[in-house]
Amino acid sequence: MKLYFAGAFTGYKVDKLQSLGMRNKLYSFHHEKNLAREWGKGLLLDSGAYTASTKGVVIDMDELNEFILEVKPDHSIQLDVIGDSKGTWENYKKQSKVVEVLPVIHSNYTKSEIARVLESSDYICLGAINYLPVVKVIEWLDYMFSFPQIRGKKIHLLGIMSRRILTRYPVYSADSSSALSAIRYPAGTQIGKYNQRTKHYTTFYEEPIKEQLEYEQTLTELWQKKGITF
Amino acid sequence: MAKKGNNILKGWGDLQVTQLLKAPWNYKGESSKLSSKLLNGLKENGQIETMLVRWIENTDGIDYYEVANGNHRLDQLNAAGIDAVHVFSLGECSLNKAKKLAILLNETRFKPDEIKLAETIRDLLGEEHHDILAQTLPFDANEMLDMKNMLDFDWSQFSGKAPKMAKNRHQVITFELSEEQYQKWRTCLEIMNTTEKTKSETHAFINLVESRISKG
Repeated sequence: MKLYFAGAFTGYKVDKLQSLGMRNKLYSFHHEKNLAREWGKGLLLDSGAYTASTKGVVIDMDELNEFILEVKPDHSIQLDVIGDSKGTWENYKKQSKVVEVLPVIHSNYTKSEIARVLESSDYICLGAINYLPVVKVIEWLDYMFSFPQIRGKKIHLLGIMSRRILTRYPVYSADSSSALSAIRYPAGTQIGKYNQRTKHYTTFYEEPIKEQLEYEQTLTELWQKKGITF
Repeated sequence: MAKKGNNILKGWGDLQVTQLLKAPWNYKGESSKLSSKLLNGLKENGQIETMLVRWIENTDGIDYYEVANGNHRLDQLNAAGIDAVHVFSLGECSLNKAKKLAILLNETRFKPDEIKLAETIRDLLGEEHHDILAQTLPFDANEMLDMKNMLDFDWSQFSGKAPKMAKNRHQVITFELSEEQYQKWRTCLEIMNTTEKTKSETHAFINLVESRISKG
């Protein structure tokens, strides 16, 4: 299983992050172009459509496609239209004529829309679920993984890194900025709060990065035991 | 008046529980759930882990020892009605040395390998009921069943029933603006995009939007 680090590790350059063992990184076309250009192997490029939409910015598909052709990420996520399954599917069809992108399924898709996307690609993203309560996420993912077409496909979970989820579903990859959350919100410990007040934030990057890499290794071994090899 | 005894235990030995004193400096927290499991374990297995103590005083001819490691066990030894315990005594030892050893013993435990732990629990569940294991092990029955289930995988476990989902995660408010008002709105968005959005700045932004729209 591949766990992509999302979010900006401000203050650390790309080579520093890579020297800490970070291989898989998600960057957003919308606001992290320069970092994405630098990353090299292990890059998953997200359009950043959601973040852009919250700021009233529209992502230009032609510009995104040009960027993908220039940077050549390992994988790129299609330009989706938040809350619009038809628009997202139209975008996928249009974009995949120019560049190879991963289609996205959102939690509001109908059965036929889900089946259509599952049959369109070998690597698919499941998204718009990270804001839901975990019980709802499990209900929906149980439903998703009941589709016969999903077996044998590579699945990416957008914005999810929960142990309960990643030990339950045989997903190929996932991304989250949770490694950074551990720094922003230091688990309520007194020493964590003290460190946050007194030390520079970059001094906290190394431990959560190491933890996520160990987590990735543990999940890979766990799924091997369950008979699933990614 | 406390005086030095003639027979201070140093090294391995047995003491009466009544000779042991809790360390007031013990930094470990309390948990009624864990204490209950500890008591059940003592009842089931007796004392299977040595306690670390240091000599404190002799009163009325009896030597008393402070527990450096095993203070929670001392409570449960009393609750279980156990009279004598096996200890390692540091003899006469400074307070700081006892503190150092307590930290050393408690904080140098390795993290478990989650998969191997789950496999071990699965093996135990093959022989004992989860409710019995939960009486002494530091997990509840559901946690142990989750560990066991975590090791298995079967596609048929996933239900084909579509859950009810909200059609759209966004709340949408539609209203008409004049071209001028729209441009003011765009200006506000630009301000937000170029501003570090701390909480107070976000409030300031909202106030700015409201004031501009109402005046517009």
